Amino acid sequence: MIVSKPAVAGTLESNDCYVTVLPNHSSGIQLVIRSIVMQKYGHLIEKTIREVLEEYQIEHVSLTLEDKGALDFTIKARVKTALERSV
Amino acid sequence: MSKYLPVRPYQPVDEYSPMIWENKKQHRINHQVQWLDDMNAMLDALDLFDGMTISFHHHLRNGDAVMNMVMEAIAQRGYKDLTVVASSIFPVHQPLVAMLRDKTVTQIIASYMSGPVARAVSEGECEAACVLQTHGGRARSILMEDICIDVAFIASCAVNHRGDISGQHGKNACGALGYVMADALMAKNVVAISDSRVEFDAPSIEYTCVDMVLMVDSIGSSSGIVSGTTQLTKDPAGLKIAHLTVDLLDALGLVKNGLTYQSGAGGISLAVTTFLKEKMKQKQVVGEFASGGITRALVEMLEEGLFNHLYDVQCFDLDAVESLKKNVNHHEISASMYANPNQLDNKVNQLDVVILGASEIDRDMNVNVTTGFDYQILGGSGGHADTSYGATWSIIVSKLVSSRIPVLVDRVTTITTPKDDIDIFVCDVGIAFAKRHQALAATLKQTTRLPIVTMEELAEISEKLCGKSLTIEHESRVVAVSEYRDGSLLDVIYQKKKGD
Amino acid sequence: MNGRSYLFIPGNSAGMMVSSFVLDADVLIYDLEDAVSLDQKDSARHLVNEAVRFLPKRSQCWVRVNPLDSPYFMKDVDALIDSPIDAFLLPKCDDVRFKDMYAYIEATAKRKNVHIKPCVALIESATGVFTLPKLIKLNVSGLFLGAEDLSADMHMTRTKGSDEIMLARQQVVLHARVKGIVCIDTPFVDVDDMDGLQYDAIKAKQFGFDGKACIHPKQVSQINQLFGYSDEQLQWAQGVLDMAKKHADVAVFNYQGSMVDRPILLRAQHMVDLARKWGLIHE
Repeated sequence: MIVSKPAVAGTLESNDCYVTVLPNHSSGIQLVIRSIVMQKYGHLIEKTIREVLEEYQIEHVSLTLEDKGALDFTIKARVKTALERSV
Repeated sequence: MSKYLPVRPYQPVDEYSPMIWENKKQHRINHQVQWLDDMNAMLDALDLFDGMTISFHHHLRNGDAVMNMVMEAIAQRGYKDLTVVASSIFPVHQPLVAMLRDKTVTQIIASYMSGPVARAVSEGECEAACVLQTHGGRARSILMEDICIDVAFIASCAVNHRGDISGQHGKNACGALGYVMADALMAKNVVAISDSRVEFDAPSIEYTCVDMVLMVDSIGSSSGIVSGTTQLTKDPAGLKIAHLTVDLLDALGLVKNGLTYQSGAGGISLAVTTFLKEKMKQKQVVGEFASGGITRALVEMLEEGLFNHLYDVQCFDLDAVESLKKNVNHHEISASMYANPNQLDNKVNQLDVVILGASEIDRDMNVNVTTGFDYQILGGSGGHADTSYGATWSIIVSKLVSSRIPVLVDRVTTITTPKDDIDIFVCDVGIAFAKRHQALAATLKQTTRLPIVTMEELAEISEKLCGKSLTIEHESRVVAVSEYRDGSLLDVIYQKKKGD
Repeated sequence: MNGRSYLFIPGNSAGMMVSSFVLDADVLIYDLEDAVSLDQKDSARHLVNEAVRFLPKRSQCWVRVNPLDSPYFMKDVDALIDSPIDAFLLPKCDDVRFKDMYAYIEATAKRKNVHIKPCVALIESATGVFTLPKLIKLNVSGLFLGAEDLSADMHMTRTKGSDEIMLARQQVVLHARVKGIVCIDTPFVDVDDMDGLQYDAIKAKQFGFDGKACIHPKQVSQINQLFGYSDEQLQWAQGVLDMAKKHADVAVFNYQGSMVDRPILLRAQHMVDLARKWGLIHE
């Protein structure tokens, strides 16, 4: 899948996250993650994002995720939604 | 100047010995209070020095103006190395941060710390290790002279012609002044700072304790006492916990005549009080007393005849202030009468049940209300460890997970209340009993519909939801200690790692 | 399939998803339809899909998909057909619409090589009520009354007394009983009126509904209580079963002054089975 236009998904409410996806034609996967539980679960948040990117076979994207304590299933859902909107 | 620090390690105690103490100021009946209306004149009249210990109370909570005005004046005179014994620190006390940085203040001893000062302490900006005490422990340490206060500055809602102090009168009446009574009795110098000179009987603090009175324009704002406490929770999971807790109280036979009750001021605890009220009305029972920080909910129960007495160490809202003034069964008590472990007839020892919150709890049921998982100081015991010890049943109420922050952890970041004093944990997933109550838990599981679970089961669900957390790092420096109510050392608090 | 309370959870709310599994409703209905705005249909579909595969399962989980004639129905079904949900709740059903929706669901299940999910029909239109006799000839697993949309379609004025929906209620219960499937009553929409909820729920139970929809978690415990069994009823049922064991050799016996024959015995067993499922009985 190719990310061709900007897209967002999710919200900044508690237990949710806000995902912004931007095309980036050849700089690979650029992730910016900010989370209220970064020190505890930042590694799992990143892992979840990368798994979705791999599932969607995305090689180039600039993805920013602003997390307010979303569980992994929410992160997955919001990232998938943003990616599908960016096609 | 060596700083106060508890060092004796905590050991569970079955019985405390009675305090032997004498009111040394009570004979000063012919004592004349000195009247001043200028801060500088007041400071000139005091024997200030580097390294001294000064105290303040927090009954005006985030509406307090007295600590800031006094500290600014003292700092301007260039004194250094001061120990501030404040019963609590709120966001309004932000100016203290600069004083930590320039070493005007080198230690804070408090029962609760929040806001910019708490952040500065957690980031290592206070030179000496701070001490976080319980409300009862603070009174004990002052009365027994483990902590010696050179000057107590008392924000006084009203003073009368004799120099008595009242919390119930004046422009900014804030109700009970329970936390400052020990300071008034023991400090070498006591300065009442007031914005209202009024005549009244039944003082909170007698003139025999007061050396000087400074009249100022304003001691702060009594409407600020409502800040820092929460409203009744609206979260369905929180409401479920509150309902479960009241059902549990019923199953334990605690919804009875003569009930003695206390609850914290968190959103779920307040909901428990509300639902308990309905249950008590339904069963037509009358409790003997409710104690602690008094809220409107408890005042309503008193006025509706559901409790015979309220024992008030602090008013959490203006309805409580009003009630203290007009209801003869609403009593002001000192922190010592409330929770000093060596005052054997204290109120916490008479409690059937206390409902409390938690920042963290571990599988053994050690509880943390002092720090967050990131080592940030966000509170302190207050009366948590006191009531947990004294109450027959201490019940922790909390959601299992909030915004991916689990309350159940392998090891609490700071022990505020030891496992020996905690009985039950009620969360939205179920009810877990301390290991020593396993037989009772099994019986309740058989005979009621309460969702009885184990801490291990809860831990498993929590980890499934959140995933496995990384261990949070901290700096090696100890920035504060968690002192148990009897002056022993429960735990240390490390400096936060620098970061976002 | 049997539940007392059916709680709607807005499909795009991460916070509500996370709490949903502790809320004690017998059935959680994750809603992709009315609770979700058009620009978030995709978002909700992903969130519900991930949630039902992740969260602890302590209740039945249904999903209300979008209507047949929306651009979302097929995508909803495609996403959720192989998930652990227990049923689809199909909106705006009449016999023809249900048939078409069911056909698509069946075909999708086949294509993905999974079992088809039970489908519950939401009756919320005049045609929906009118075509009930034909609807129950199809593979419908439950009838769910939606009186808010129904009253709009029928030009009724919706009241708390609910006289206006009496016919619809009776028709739904009648046809559910003929088919032998569950019937669920419409939600009571004034969430602050707990007395009104009590009155309405008692009425619904009187009419024969198996359970009732909830639109707010605070309604759940009252509904559970009203549509469950009282301690006396359970004692009676258990007594019947105990007595039946003793009289295993006879077809009919006497219990507490009444005749107990096979239908009553089956009813007692059914009550005890449900009570056990709802956590009302201990072993």
